[in-house]
Amino acid sequence: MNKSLFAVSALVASLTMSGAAMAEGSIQHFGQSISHVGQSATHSAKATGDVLLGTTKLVSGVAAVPFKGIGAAADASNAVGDFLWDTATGGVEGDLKVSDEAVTAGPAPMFVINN
Amino acid sequence: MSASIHKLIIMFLVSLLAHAPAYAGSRQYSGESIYSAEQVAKFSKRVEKYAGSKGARAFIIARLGTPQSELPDQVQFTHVGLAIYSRIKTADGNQIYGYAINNLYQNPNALDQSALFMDYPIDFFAGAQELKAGIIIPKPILQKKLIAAIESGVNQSLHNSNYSMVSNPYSQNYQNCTEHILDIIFSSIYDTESMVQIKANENAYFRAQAIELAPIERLFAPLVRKDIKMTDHSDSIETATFTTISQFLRSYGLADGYTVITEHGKQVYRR
Repeated sequence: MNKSLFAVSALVASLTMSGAAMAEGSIQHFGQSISHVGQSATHSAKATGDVLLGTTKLVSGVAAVPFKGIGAAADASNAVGDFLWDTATGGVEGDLKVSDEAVTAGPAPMFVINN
Repeated sequence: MSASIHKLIIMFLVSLLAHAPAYAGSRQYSGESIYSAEQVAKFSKRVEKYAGSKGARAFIIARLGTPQSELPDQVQFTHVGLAIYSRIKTADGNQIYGYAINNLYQNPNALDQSALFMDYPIDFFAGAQELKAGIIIPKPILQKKLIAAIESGVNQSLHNSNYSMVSNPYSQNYQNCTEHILDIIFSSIYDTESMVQIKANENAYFRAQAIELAPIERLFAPLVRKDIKMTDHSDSIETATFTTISQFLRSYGLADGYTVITEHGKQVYRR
């Protein structure tokens, strides 16, 4: 194996003396701008249901389940592995509908609990 | 301690201090994103639409949380998750379609610990230092197994909450976000939740990214960062990355390559 080298400076640069200040690892970056808008989305969803980010409507997601197929027949199917894979070949016929709304989950609990 | 070693240590600590302010300002989890919410929403929707156009029901997604200019060429992304095409119920009672992302995130209150959390693309890319996405779409048979793994909670059973930013994928001591996804992939391929078996398979077939550190840096890194451990490494330091996962999947015919989507919508396909 031709072992590639991480530049030493990358790790050195990622080391900080403060535990609160961190370089990117697997941290969830819930930027304040999104957080504030997200809270607004949650609140407004109960009132008006509309928060716009430019032309994109932001909504708060409360649950998500893997969707296994396309159309009414697939809607009735809920068994693990019961997919319509013949439509998932990467071709045009395999396109999956993606709604125009942007969904937010809000920050993870461990980000909220001490704030 | 010799004078030269002492001098090296001083220089090293000075370099840490010199870098600290920049990182403190840009990477705290609660910090202001450098992109507006509108920009993040537009970009994340572009990524979703791309995956949808490919018929991807499950794909590996990566973001860049550190400016590329500060990373070596071999490191393209700094966080990896597993995106699943989902029917999403919203707070206003509607049902919409898009991708939910399964993540292992560091605990901001205990950096050497992690938790699993599902979020959505706009959450995933919030706070990114560069709007750039990495996408690996596995072959359908693996997608199907990955979705089944999430549905049956395999990701929970494989989770090791002891976090190290450079965790060794061949050991069970620590786990970072990328290794977590790698473990789910191997569990899905071999239909096993035995970590002993998963690690044996990874050791046999997965080639991790090597990291070369000077001895003094290897010594000091764990002292100044509690989320960097070296005890799980032997002579060499190796960790899983988005690119090495892509190379593994391609090597065994489980994916063709990966796509990078940039801020302005440019799509680059790499093998």
